[in-house]
Amino acid sequence: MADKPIVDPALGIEINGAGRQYFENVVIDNLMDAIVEMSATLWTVRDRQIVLEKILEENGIDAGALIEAHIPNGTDLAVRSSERDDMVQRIFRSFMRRPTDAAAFDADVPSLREITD
Amino acid sequence: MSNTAKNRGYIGLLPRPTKLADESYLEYVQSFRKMIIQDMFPVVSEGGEERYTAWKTKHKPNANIDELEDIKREYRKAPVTLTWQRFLRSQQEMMWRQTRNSFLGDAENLLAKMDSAESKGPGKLIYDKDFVVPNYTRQEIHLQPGGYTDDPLAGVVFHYGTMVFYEGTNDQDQLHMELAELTTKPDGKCDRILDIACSIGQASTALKKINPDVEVTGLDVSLPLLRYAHSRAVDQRIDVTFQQALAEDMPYEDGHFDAVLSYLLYHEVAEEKIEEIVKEVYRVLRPGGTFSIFDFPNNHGQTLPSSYRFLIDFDSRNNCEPYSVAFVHCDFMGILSRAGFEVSDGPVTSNPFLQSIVATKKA
Repeated sequence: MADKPIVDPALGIEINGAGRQYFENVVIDNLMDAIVEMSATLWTVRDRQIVLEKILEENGIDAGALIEAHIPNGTDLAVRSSERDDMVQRIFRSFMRRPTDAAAFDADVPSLREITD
Repeated sequence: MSNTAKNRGYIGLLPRPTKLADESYLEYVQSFRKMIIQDMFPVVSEGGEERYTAWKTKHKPNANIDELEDIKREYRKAPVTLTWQRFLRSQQEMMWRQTRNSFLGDAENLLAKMDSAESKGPGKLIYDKDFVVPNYTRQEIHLQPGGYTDDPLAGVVFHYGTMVFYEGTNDQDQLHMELAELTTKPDGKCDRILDIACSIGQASTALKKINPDVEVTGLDVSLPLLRYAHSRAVDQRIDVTFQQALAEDMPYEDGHFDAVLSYLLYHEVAEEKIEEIVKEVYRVLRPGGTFSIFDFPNNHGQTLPSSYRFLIDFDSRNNCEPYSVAFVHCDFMGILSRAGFEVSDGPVTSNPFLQSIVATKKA
Protein backbone atom coordinates (compact mmCIF):
# COMPACT_ATOMS: atom_id res chain seq x y z
CA MET A 1 0.00 0.00 0.00
CA ALA A 2 1.20 3.53 -0.75
CA ASP A 3 1.88 6.05 2.00
CA LYS A 4 -1.38 7.28 3.46
CA PRO A 5 -2.70 9.82 0.93
CA ILE A 6 -3.37 13.33 2.12
CA VAL A 7 -6.86 14.63 1.34
CA ASP A 8 -6.86 18.41 0.97
CA PRO A 9 -10.26 19.71 2.14
CA ALA A 10 -9.75 22.99 0.30
CA LEU A 11 -9.60 21.45 -3.19
CA GLY A 12 -12.51 22.68 -5.27
CA ILE A 13 -13.23 25.82 -3.29
CA GLU A 14 -11.35 27.76 -5.95
CA ILE A 15 -10.87 26.05 -9.29
CA ASN A 16 -8.01 26.52 -11.72
CA GLY A 17 -7.08 30.05 -10.80
CA ALA A 18 -9.24 33.13 -10.54
CA GLY A 19 -12.70 32.93 -12.09
CA ARG A 20 -12.93 33.53 -15.82
CA GLN A 21 -14.47 36.63 -17.35
CA TYR A 22 -16.32 36.47 -20.67
CA PHE A 23 -18.25 39.74 -20.72
CA GLU A 24 -16.70 43.18 -21.02
CA ASN A 25 -18.29 44.06 -17.71
CA VAL A 26 -17.37 41.45 -15.10
CA VAL A 27 -20.56 42.20 -13.20
CA ILE A 28 -22.49 40.46 -15.98
CA ASP A 29 -20.42 37.32 -15.38
CA ASN A 30 -21.14 37.61 -11.68
CA LEU A 31 -24.86 38.09 -12.20
CA MET A 32 -25.06 35.08 -14.48
CA ASP A 33 -23.18 32.91 -11.99
CA ALA A 34 -25.58 34.04 -9.31
CA ILE A 35 -28.61 33.19 -11.44
CA VAL A 36 -27.32 29.70 -12.20
CA GLU A 37 -26.49 29.04 -8.54
CA MET A 38 -29.87 30.38 -7.50
CA SER A 39 -31.69 28.12 -9.93
CA ALA A 40 -29.67 25.08 -8.76
CA THR A 41 -30.44 25.93 -5.15
CA LEU A 42 -34.12 26.36 -5.91
CA TRP A 43 -34.24 22.93 -7.53
CA THR A 44 -32.34 21.34 -4.63
CA VAL A 45 -34.92 22.66 -2.18
CA ARG A 46 -37.83 21.71 -4.44
CA ASP A 47 -36.46 18.18 -4.86
CA ARG A 48 -36.13 17.75 -1.10
CA GLN A 49 -39.66 19.01 -0.62
CA ILE A 50 -40.96 16.46 -3.13
CA VAL A 51 -39.15 13.65 -1.30
CA LEU A 52 -40.29 14.87 2.11
CA GLU A 53 -43.93 15.22 1.14
CA LYS A 54 -43.88 11.77 -0.42
CA ILE A 55 -42.45 10.22 2.75
CA LEU A 56 -44.96 12.02 4.94
CA GLU A 57 -47.86 11.01 2.74
CA GLU A 58 -46.72 7.38 2.89
CA ASN A 59 -46.84 7.71 6.69
CA GLY A 60 -50.26 9.34 6.80
CA ILE A 61 -49.13 12.86 7.73
CA ASP A 62 -50.73 16.03 6.38
CA ALA A 63 -47.57 18.07 5.99
CA GLY A 64 -49.27 21.21 4.70
CA ALA A 65 -51.31 21.79 7.86
CA LEU A 66 -48.45 20.89 10.20
CA ILE A 67 -46.00 23.23 8.44
CA GLU A 68 -48.36 26.20 8.81
CA ALA A 69 -48.78 25.43 12.52
CA HIS A 70 -45.06 25.05 13.22
CA ILE A 71 -43.31 27.65 15.44
CA PRO A 72 -39.50 27.35 15.35
CA ASN A 73 -37.46 27.41 18.55
CA GLY A 74 -34.16 29.20 19.06
CA THR A 75 -32.03 26.25 17.95
CA ASP A 76 -34.09 25.80 14.80
CA LEU A 77 -33.70 29.46 13.99
CA ALA A 78 -29.92 29.33 14.48
CA VAL A 79 -29.57 26.31 12.17
CA ARG A 80 -31.69 27.97 9.52
CA SER A 81 -29.76 31.20 9.85
CA SER A 82 -26.49 29.37 9.28
CA GLU A 83 -27.85 27.57 6.21
CA ARG A 84 -29.25 30.83 4.90
CA ASP A 85 -25.85 32.50 5.25
CA ASP A 86 -24.24 29.61 3.35
CA MET A 87 -26.78 30.02 0.56
CA VAL A 88 -26.08 33.73 0.30
CA GLN A 89 -22.34 32.98 0.07
CA ARG A 90 -22.82 30.38 -2.63
CA ILE A 91 -25.04 32.55 -4.77
CA PHE A 92 -23.21 35.83 -4.45
CA ARG A 93 -19.57 34.76 -4.06
CA SER A 94 -18.91 35.54 -7.72
CA PHE A 95 -19.06 39.23 -7.00
CA MET A 96 -16.06 38.97 -4.70
CA ARG A 97 -14.13 36.48 -6.76
CA ARG A 98 -12.91 37.79 -10.06
CA PRO A 99 -10.23 40.44 -10.53
CA THR A 100 -11.43 43.63 -12.15
CA ASP A 101 -8.38 44.20 -14.35
CA ALA A 102 -8.05 43.12 -17.96
CA ALA A 103 -5.73 40.23 -17.08
CA ALA A 104 -8.71 37.97 -16.51
CA PHE A 105 -9.54 38.03 -20.22
CA ASP A 106 -8.58 34.92 -22.14
CA ALA A 107 -5.61 34.10 -19.94
CA ASP A 108 -3.89 30.79 -20.52
CA VAL A 109 -4.97 28.05 -18.16
CA PRO A 110 -2.51 27.72 -15.27
CA SER A 111 -1.27 24.24 -14.54
CA LEU A 112 -1.82 22.65 -11.18
CA ARG A 113 1.94 22.68 -10.76
CA GLU A 114 2.03 26.45 -11.30
CA ILE A 115 -0.81 26.96 -8.83
CA THR A 116 0.80 24.66 -6.27
CA ASP A 117 4.30 26.06 -6.73
CA MET B 1 -33.11 17.76 9.49
CA SER B 2 -30.05 15.53 9.48
CA ASN B 3 -27.23 16.52 7.18
CA THR B 4 -24.91 13.70 8.18
CA ALA B 5 -22.87 12.59 5.19
CA LYS B 6 -22.85 8.86 4.53
CA ASN B 7 -22.58 6.13 1.96
CA ARG B 8 -25.97 6.28 0.22
CA GLY B 9 -25.44 3.29 -2.05
CA TYR B 10 -25.15 3.18 -5.82
CA ILE B 11 -26.86 4.33 -9.00
CA GLY B 12 -26.03 1.35 -11.20
CA LEU B 13 -22.25 1.07 -10.85
CA LEU B 14 -21.90 4.67 -9.67
CA PRO B 15 -21.66 5.72 -6.00
CA ARG B 16 -24.37 8.17 -4.99
CA PRO B 17 -23.36 11.58 -3.61
CA THR B 18 -23.25 11.51 0.17
CA LYS B 19 -26.32 13.72 0.67
CA LEU B 20 -29.65 14.02 -1.10
CA ALA B 21 -29.05 17.77 -1.42
CA ASP B 22 -25.79 17.11 -3.31
CA GLU B 23 -27.50 14.62 -5.60
CA SER B 24 -30.37 17.02 -6.33
CA TYR B 25 -27.94 19.87 -7.02
CA LEU B 26 -25.80 17.74 -9.33
CA GLU B 27 -28.84 16.38 -11.18
CA TYR B 28 -29.81 19.97 -11.78
CA VAL B 29 -26.32 20.78 -13.07
CA GLN B 30 -26.66 17.78 -15.38
CA SER B 31 -29.92 19.10 -16.81
CA PHE B 32 -28.39 22.56 -17.12
CA ARG B 33 -25.42 21.12 -19.02
CA LYS B 34 -27.76 19.22 -21.34
CA MET B 35 -29.46 22.51 -22.23
CA ILE B 36 -26.09 24.24 -22.82
CA ILE B 37 -24.77 21.46 -25.05
CA GLN B 38 -27.86 20.26 -26.88
CA ASP B 39 -29.90 23.44 -27.25
CA MET B 40 -27.53 26.37 -26.87
CA PHE B 41 -24.39 25.29 -28.73
CA PRO B 42 -26.25 24.73 -32.02
CA VAL B 43 -27.42 28.36 -31.80
CA VAL B 44 -23.85 29.52 -31.13
CA SER B 45 -22.52 27.30 -33.90
CA GLU B 46 -25.03 28.19 -36.63
CA GLY B 47 -24.83 31.93 -35.97
CA GLY B 48 -21.06 31.82 -35.73
CA GLU B 49 -20.60 29.87 -38.95
CA GLU B 50 -22.89 32.32 -40.73
CA ARG B 51 -21.11 35.41 -39.41
CA TYR B 52 -17.64 34.02 -40.05
CA THR B 53 -18.49 32.93 -43.59
CA ALA B 54 -19.94 36.35 -44.39
CA TRP B 55 -16.86 38.08 -42.96
CA LYS B 56 -14.46 35.82 -44.85
CA THR B 57 -16.31 36.29 -48.13
CA LYS B 58 -15.96 40.03 -47.74
CA HIS B 59 -12.44 40.33 -46.29
CA LYS B 60 -10.44 37.21 -47.18
CA PRO B 61 -12.22 35.60 -50.14
CA ASN B 62 -9.09 33.89 -51.46
CA ALA B 63 -7.62 32.65 -48.18
CA ASN B 64 -6.94 28.92 -48.05
CA ILE B 65 -6.42 28.89 -44.30
CA ASP B 66 -8.98 29.93 -41.72
CA GLU B 67 -7.23 31.86 -38.97
CA LEU B 68 -8.45 30.92 -35.49
CA GLU B 69 -8.36 34.53 -34.31
CA ASP B 70 -10.75 35.53 -37.12
CA ILE B 71 -13.11 32.71 -36.19
CA LYS B 72 -13.06 33.62 -32.49
CA ARG B 73 -13.65 37.32 -33.13
CA GLU B 74 -16.68 36.69 -35.35
CA TYR B 75 -18.19 34.09 -33.01
CA ARG B 76 -17.79 36.35 -29.98
CA LYS B 77 -19.76 39.16 -31.61
CA ALA B 78 -23.00 37.43 -30.61
CA PRO B 79 -24.26 37.80 -27.02
CA VAL B 80 -25.38 34.16 -27.08
CA THR B 81 -21.76 33.08 -27.54
CA LEU B 82 -20.61 34.96 -24.44
CA THR B 83 -23.57 33.61 -22.50
CA TRP B 84 -22.79 30.08 -23.62
CA GLN B 85 -19.16 30.50 -22.57
CA ARG B 86 -20.17 31.81 -19.15
CA PHE B 87 -22.72 29.03 -18.61
CA LEU B 88 -20.37 26.25 -19.70
CA ARG B 89 -17.57 27.37 -17.41
CA SER B 90 -19.92 27.97 -14.48
CA GLN B 91 -21.55 24.58 -14.96
CA GLN B 92 -18.20 22.81 -15.02
CA GLU B 93 -17.05 24.52 -11.82
CA MET B 94 -20.36 23.77 -10.08
CA MET B 95 -20.15 20.13 -11.12
CA TRP B 96 -16.66 19.55 -9.75
CA ARG B 97 -17.04 21.69 -6.64
CA GLN B 98 -20.19 19.94 -5.45
CA THR B 99 -19.01 16.46 -6.44
CA ARG B 100 -15.70 16.84 -4.66
CA ASN B 101 -17.27 18.41 -1.61
CA SER B 102 -19.88 15.67 -1.39
CA PHE B 103 -17.42 12.76 -1.48
CA LEU B 104 -15.07 14.62 0.86
CA GLY B 105 -17.80 13.96 3.45
CA ASP B 106 -17.12 10.21 3.19
CA ALA B 107 -13.38 10.41 2.49
CA GLU B 108 -12.30 8.13 5.30
CA ASN B 109 -14.52 5.26 4.17
CA LEU B 110 -13.74 5.75 0.50
CA LEU B 111 -10.00 5.63 1.14
CA ALA B 112 -10.35 2.62 3.46
CA LYS B 113 -12.29 0.75 0.77
CA MET B 114 -9.54 1.34 -1.80
CA ASP B 115 -6.86 0.37 0.74
CA SER B 116 -8.66 -2.86 1.49
CA ALA B 117 -9.16 -3.69 -2.21
CA GLU B 118 -5.43 -3.49 -2.91
CA SER B 119 -4.81 -6.95 -1.50
CA LYS B 120 -7.91 -8.47 -3.09
CA GLY B 121 -8.63 -10.04 -6.45
CA PRO B 122 -9.59 -10.97 -8.99
CA GLY B 123 -7.06 -8.91 -10.86
CA LYS B 124 -4.34 -6.84 -9.30
CA LEU B 125 -2.96 -3.37 -8.89
CA ILE B 126 0.72 -2.78 -9.67
CA TYR B 127 2.61 0.37 -8.77
CA ASP B 128 5.91 1.54 -7.40
CA LYS B 129 5.50 3.97 -4.54
CA ASP B 130 8.62 5.82 -5.70
CA PHE B 131 7.08 6.44 -9.14
CA VAL B 132 7.49 10.10 -10.08
CA VAL B 133 4.48 11.67 -11.78
CA PRO B 134 5.71 13.96 -14.57
CA ASN B 135 4.74 17.58 -14.21
CA TYR B 136 3.10 17.69 -17.65
CA THR B 137 0.40 15.34 -16.39
CA ARG B 138 -0.26 17.35 -13.23
CA GLN B 139 -3.00 19.53 -14.67
CA GLU B 140 -6.51 20.16 -13.41
CA ILE B 141 -7.82 18.50 -16.57
CA HIS B 142 -11.44 19.46 -17.26
CA LEU B 143 -11.11 21.66 -14.13
CA GLN B 144 -11.26 18.65 -11.82
CA PRO B 145 -9.87 19.89 -8.48
CA GLY B 146 -6.39 18.45 -8.02
CA GLY B 147 -6.52 16.90 -11.48
CA TYR B 148 -6.13 13.16 -11.89
CA THR B 149 -2.89 12.95 -9.97
CA ASP B 150 -3.03 15.15 -6.87
CA ASP B 151 -6.27 14.20 -5.11
CA PRO B 152 -6.61 10.79 -3.42
CA LEU B 153 -10.37 11.02 -4.07
CA ALA B 154 -9.86 11.70 -7.80
CA GLY B 155 -11.37 8.36 -8.87
CA VAL B 156 -14.80 8.69 -7.32
CA VAL B 157 -14.91 12.41 -8.10
CA PHE B 158 -14.08 11.70 -11.74
CA HIS B 159 -16.66 8.91 -11.89
CA TYR B 160 -19.58 10.99 -10.65
CA GLY B 161 -18.39 14.16 -12.40
CA THR B 162 -18.33 12.39 -15.74
CA MET B 163 -21.87 11.14 -15.09
CA VAL B 164 -22.89 14.80 -15.15
CA PHE B 165 -20.53 15.52 -18.06
CA TYR B 166 -22.01 12.72 -20.17
CA GLU B 167 -25.48 14.03 -19.33
CA GLY B 168 -26.50 11.00 -17.31
CA THR B 169 -25.17 8.13 -19.37
CA ASN B 170 -22.31 6.92 -17.19
CA ASP B 171 -23.93 4.86 -14.46
CA GLN B 172 -23.62 1.51 -16.26
CA ASP B 173 -20.36 2.18 -18.16
CA GLN B 174 -22.56 2.58 -21.26
CA LEU B 175 -20.04 4.54 -23.33
CA HIS B 176 -17.20 2.26 -22.37
CA MET B 177 -19.15 -0.86 -23.26
CA GLU B 178 -19.62 0.67 -26.70
CA LEU B 179 -15.89 1.40 -26.98
CA ALA B 180 -15.03 -2.13 -25.92
CA GLU B 181 -17.42 -3.52 -28.54
CA LEU B 182 -15.81 -1.30 -31.18
CA THR B 183 -12.22 -2.10 -30.26
CA THR B 184 -10.79 -3.78 -33.34
CA LYS B 185 -9.34 -7.25 -32.85
CA PRO B 186 -6.41 -8.39 -34.98
CA ASP B 187 -6.39 -11.30 -37.35
CA GLY B 188 -5.26 -14.45 -35.62
CA LYS B 189 -4.81 -14.78 -31.89
CA CYS B 190 -6.00 -12.20 -29.40
CA ASP B 191 -4.79 -13.19 -25.95
CA ARG B 192 -3.84 -9.82 -24.47
CA ILE B 193 -5.42 -6.37 -24.73
CA LEU B 194 -4.00 -3.16 -23.27
CA ASP B 195 -6.13 -0.13 -22.38
CA ILE B 196 -3.74 2.84 -22.22
CA ALA B 197 -4.72 5.86 -20.17
CA CYS B 198 -7.42 3.65 -18.69
CA SER B 199 -8.46 6.20 -16.03
CA ILE B 200 -10.92 4.50 -13.65
CA GLY B 201 -10.87 1.34 -15.78
CA GLN B 202 -14.36 1.52 -17.27
CA ALA B 203 -13.23 0.40 -20.73
CA SER B 204 -10.80 -2.13 -19.22
CA THR B 205 -13.55 -3.93 -17.30
CA ALA B 206 -15.87 -3.65 -20.30
CA LEU B 207 -13.20 -5.30 -22.48
CA LYS B 208 -12.93 -8.14 -19.99
CA LYS B 209 -16.71 -8.57 -19.81
CA ILE B 210 -16.91 -8.87 -23.57
CA ASN B 211 -13.74 -10.98 -23.93
CA PRO B 212 -13.65 -13.17 -20.80
CA ASP B 213 -10.82 -15.34 -22.14
CA VAL B 214 -8.54 -12.40 -22.92
CA GLU B 215 -5.99 -10.99 -20.45
CA VAL B 216 -6.81 -7.29 -20.03
CA THR B 217 -4.38 -4.69 -18.65
CA GLY B 218 -5.25 -1.08 -17.84
CA LEU B 219 -2.39 1.42 -17.67
CA ASP B 220 -2.48 4.97 -16.37
CA VAL B 221 -0.19 7.58 -14.85
CA SER B 222 -2.58 8.35 -11.99
CA LEU B 223 -2.47 6.19 -8.88
CA PRO B 224 -5.67 7.71 -7.39
CA LEU B 225 -7.58 6.72 -10.54
CA LEU B 226 -6.03 3.25 -10.63
CA ARG B 227 -6.78 2.55 -6.97
CA TYR B 228 -10.42 3.38 -7.67
CA ALA B 229 -10.34 1.33 -10.91
CA HIS B 230 -9.04 -1.74 -9.09
CA SER B 231 -11.57 -1.32 -6.27
CA ARG B 232 -14.40 -1.15 -8.84
CA ALA B 233 -13.11 -4.25 -10.63
CA VAL B 234 -12.88 -6.16 -7.33
CA ASP B 235 -16.47 -5.15 -6.49
CA GLN B 236 -17.62 -6.44 -9.87
CA ARG B 237 -15.46 -9.59 -9.68
CA ILE B 238 -13.72 -8.71 -12.95
CA ASP B 239 -10.15 -9.88 -13.51
CA VAL B 240 -8.13 -6.94 -14.86
CA THR B 241 -4.55 -5.95 -14.06
CA PHE B 242 -4.12 -2.22 -13.46
CA GLN B 243 -0.63 -0.75 -13.58
CA GLN B 244 0.76 2.71 -12.96
CA ALA B 245 3.19 3.63 -15.74
CA LEU B 246 3.77 6.16 -18.48
CA ALA B 247 2.30 5.42 -21.91
CA GLU B 248 5.58 6.68 -23.41
CA ASP B 249 7.64 4.24 -21.31
CA MET B 250 5.68 1.04 -20.76
CA PRO B 251 7.04 -1.85 -18.68
CA TYR B 252 6.19 -4.54 -21.25
CA GLU B 253 8.19 -6.69 -23.62
CA ASP B 254 8.23 -6.00 -27.35
CA GLY B 255 5.17 -7.48 -29.05
CA HIS B 256 3.48 -8.35 -25.74
CA PHE B 257 -0.06 -7.27 -26.71
CA ASP B 258 -2.37 -8.30 -29.54
CA ALA B 259 -4.56 -5.18 -29.36
CA VAL B 260 -4.39 -1.76 -27.72
CA LEU B 261 -7.20 0.72 -27.02
CA SER B 262 -6.84 4.41 -26.30
CA TYR B 263 -9.84 6.57 -25.55
CA LEU B 264 -9.35 10.34 -25.30
CA LEU B 265 -5.64 10.09 -24.56
CA TYR B 266 -3.76 11.95 -27.25
CA HIS B 267 -5.42 15.34 -26.85
CA GLU B 268 -4.48 15.22 -23.15
CA VAL B 269 -0.71 14.84 -23.56
CA ALA B 270 2.02 17.33 -24.34
CA GLU B 271 2.70 17.60 -28.06
CA GLU B 272 6.21 16.12 -27.87
CA LYS B 273 4.78 13.05 -26.10
CA ILE B 274 2.32 12.15 -28.87
CA GLU B 275 5.01 10.66 -31.11
CA GLU B 276 6.74 8.94 -28.18
CA ILE B 277 3.51 7.22 -27.16
CA VAL B 278 2.71 6.14 -30.71
CA LYS B 279 6.18 4.59 -31.06
CA GLU B 280 5.83 2.86 -27.69
CA VAL B 281 2.44 1.36 -28.62
CA TYR B 282 4.00 0.14 -31.86
CA ARG B 283 6.75 -1.53 -29.84
CA VAL B 284 4.45 -3.38 -27.42
CA LEU B 285 2.09 -4.61 -30.17
CA ARG B 286 2.83 -7.88 -31.94
CA PRO B 287 3.14 -7.86 -35.73
CA GLY B 288 -0.41 -7.71 -37.08
CA GLY B 289 -1.65 -6.21 -33.79
CA THR B 290 -4.27 -3.48 -33.85
CA PHE B 291 -4.42 -0.10 -32.15
CA SER B 292 -7.92 1.38 -31.77
CA ILE B 293 -7.94 5.14 -31.19
CA PHE B 294 -10.96 7.26 -30.24
CA ASP B 295 -10.08 10.91 -29.79
CA PHE B 296 -10.65 14.53 -30.79
CA PRO B 297 -10.68 15.11 -34.55
CA ASN B 298 -7.60 16.44 -36.36
CA ASN B 299 -7.80 19.37 -38.73
CA HIS B 300 -6.23 17.50 -41.64
CA GLY B 301 -6.50 19.54 -44.82
CA GLN B 302 -8.41 22.33 -43.05
CA THR B 303 -11.52 20.18 -43.06
CA LEU B 304 -12.87 20.97 -39.60
CA PRO B 305 -15.79 23.40 -39.51
CA SER B 306 -15.14 26.71 -37.79
CA SER B 307 -17.53 25.76 -34.97
CA TYR B 308 -15.35 22.75 -34.05
CA ARG B 309 -12.23 24.91 -34.01
CA PHE B 310 -13.97 27.54 -31.91
CA LEU B 311 -15.21 24.87 -29.50
CA ILE B 312 -11.84 23.13 -29.17
CA ASP B 313 -10.00 26.42 -28.60
CA PHE B 314 -12.51 27.48 -25.95
CA ASP B 315 -12.38 24.08 -24.32
CA SER B 316 -8.58 24.15 -24.27
CA ARG B 317 -8.40 27.55 -22.60
CA ASN B 318 -11.39 27.30 -20.31
CA ASN B 319 -11.74 23.64 -19.47
CA CYS B 320 -8.06 22.99 -18.82
CA GLU B 321 -7.26 21.03 -21.94
CA PRO B 322 -3.82 22.58 -22.36
CA TYR B 323 -2.65 20.26 -25.13
CA SER B 324 -5.79 19.72 -27.21
CA VAL B 325 -5.31 22.51 -29.76
CA ALA B 326 -1.81 21.28 -30.58
CA PHE B 327 -3.15 17.75 -31.02
CA VAL B 328 -5.99 18.85 -33.27
CA HIS B 329 -3.56 20.68 -35.53
CA CYS B 330 -0.80 18.07 -35.57
CA ASP B 331 -0.24 15.57 -38.36
CA PHE B 332 -1.48 12.63 -36.29
CA MET B 333 -2.02 10.33 -39.27
CA GLY B 334 1.54 11.10 -40.39
CA ILE B 335 2.90 10.30 -36.93
CA LEU B 336 1.10 6.94 -36.97
CA SER B 337 2.33 6.14 -40.48
CA ARG B 338 5.92 7.15 -39.76
CA ALA B 339 5.91 4.83 -36.73
CA GLY B 340 5.14 1.97 -39.12
CA PHE B 341 1.37 1.61 -38.73
CA GLU B 342 -1.09 1.05 -41.55
CA VAL B 343 -3.82 3.58 -40.78
CA SER B 344 -7.50 3.32 -41.61
CA ASP B 345 -10.81 4.74 -40.41
CA GLY B 346 -12.21 2.91 -37.40
CA PRO B 347 -15.81 1.99 -36.59
CA VAL B 348 -18.19 4.91 -36.09
CA THR B 349 -19.22 5.65 -32.50
CA SER B 350 -22.40 7.21 -31.15
CA ASN B 351 -20.42 10.40 -30.42
CA PRO B 352 -20.19 12.21 -33.76
CA PHE B 353 -17.51 14.57 -32.44
CA LEU B 354 -14.90 11.82 -32.02
CA GLN B 355 -12.67 10.44 -34.72
CA SER B 356 -12.12 6.71 -34.80
CA ILE B 357 -8.88 5.26 -36.17
CA VAL B 358 -7.50 1.77 -36.45
CA ALA B 359 -3.70 1.57 -36.77
CA THR B 360 -2.36 -1.89 -37.60
CA LYS B 361 1.23 -2.98 -37.08
CA LYS B 362 2.43 -4.62 -40.27
CA ALA B 363 2.51 -8.41 -39.95
